[in-house]
Amino acid sequence: MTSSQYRFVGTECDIVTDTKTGKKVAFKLFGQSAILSDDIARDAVLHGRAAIVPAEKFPASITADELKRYGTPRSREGALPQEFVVKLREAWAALAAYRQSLLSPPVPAKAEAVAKPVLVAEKEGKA
Amino acid sequence: MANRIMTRNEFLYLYGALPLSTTGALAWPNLPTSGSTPAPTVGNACKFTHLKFPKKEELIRRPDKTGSRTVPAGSPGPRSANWQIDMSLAGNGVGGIVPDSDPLLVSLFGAPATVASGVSVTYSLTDSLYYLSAMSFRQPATANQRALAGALVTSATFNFGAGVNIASASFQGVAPWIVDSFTLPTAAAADSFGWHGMAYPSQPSSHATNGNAVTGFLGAVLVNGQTYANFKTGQIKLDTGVDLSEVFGSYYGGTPEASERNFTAQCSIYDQDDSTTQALYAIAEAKTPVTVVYQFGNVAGNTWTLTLNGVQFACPDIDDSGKSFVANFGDSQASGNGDDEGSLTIS
Repeated sequence: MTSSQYRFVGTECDIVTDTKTGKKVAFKLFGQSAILSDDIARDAVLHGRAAIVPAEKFPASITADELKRYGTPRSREGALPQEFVVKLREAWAALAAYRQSLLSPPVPAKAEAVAKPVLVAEKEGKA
Repeated sequence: MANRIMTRNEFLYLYGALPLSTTGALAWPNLPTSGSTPAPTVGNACKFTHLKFPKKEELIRRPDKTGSRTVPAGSPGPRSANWQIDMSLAGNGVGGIVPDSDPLLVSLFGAPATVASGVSVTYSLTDSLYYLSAMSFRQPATANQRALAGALVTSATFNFGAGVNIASASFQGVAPWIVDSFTLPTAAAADSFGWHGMAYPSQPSSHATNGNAVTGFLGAVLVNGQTYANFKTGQIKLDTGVDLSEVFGSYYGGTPEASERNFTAQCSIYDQDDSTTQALYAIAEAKTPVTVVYQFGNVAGNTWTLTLNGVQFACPDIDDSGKSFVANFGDSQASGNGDDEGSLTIS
């Protein structure tokens, strides 16, 4: 089982990694990073709609100062500077692209070896 | 030794919502499965504050005289489940991704959300009916676990305003039955809703829940395009008019029946002598249909905008119980010209 660093682009998210004990990774701050099992992260994004992206996909244009200033939901209440809104949308777009990449992984050379992708709607019981 | 079951140690998983045919004989939708195994294998978790999954089974008493005043034992009657799920309002926190409560909202509005990627999700009304399934898992795993089969939302109530720290929603609905882990092993096929002969599912080992709770005292209210800064509290009730029909040949409710929707709003404002307050009084007295926009919260990705059209305000009741006079506008009904009396956008 591999693990990677993920960063948060939402307002709040609990990824419960063990439902028996309630142990969780709690994301409270925009841009917050955490190391997660890739399997759990994949399920959390695809089926749990978690707002996390692999660290390398987090927009580099968002500065440390902006993270400090707009990290909490409270600090993002009301109108935000347009410059940051653009970056926020960029982060959300990165999440949308990441979700899409999980739904439709790139087809390798030996296509027959790849299992048929399953639509998220099917997995989420929406088909 | 028996274990007490602590109320905090419970998770809710929502599934669906899927369209339900209202024509022909109804085959009630089964509980979700993954092949030959009951779901959930992955999480569709949703935070909540209170949950009621009551089984309702009438006791049929034979009315004939027996020659005695003693009541004879009854027999099992029709079954149903009138359920309720209360929660803090929480969007996903990212524009364009549906909230964890999505299946409830789809069933409420009768259609999946329209998604503007990276921007918003919008629920608009249709006359279609969508059902969902829900599962509650409590700790320890040996406790009786419950699954709600074929649930339809019959009403939802949203509360917000001054003094309301967290905006909340309460969803009520009907379902043919609750399947539970204590009785599933011996339940007949007709009572198992697709899980007959299967072991009751285990809780997913992991899941995610999303979005901060919407602050109940932040937002805006626009009546007829006019912002009301003296708005105090509001309650919006969306009644879908859905119920299950009685059926011959089954213990369970049959094809859902739906009458007209009844969307109403109550609100209170601090009574003032300004022109906008005066205008609201006039609107109420003339029963002028107006558009009312309620915005709960104001964080990007978690701002809920509920629009009610054709609202005809009730005349105000002036309340002098507090330090300032408050004008309470009671149940004020929304109206429209075809599936347009209400919509919800989360952006």
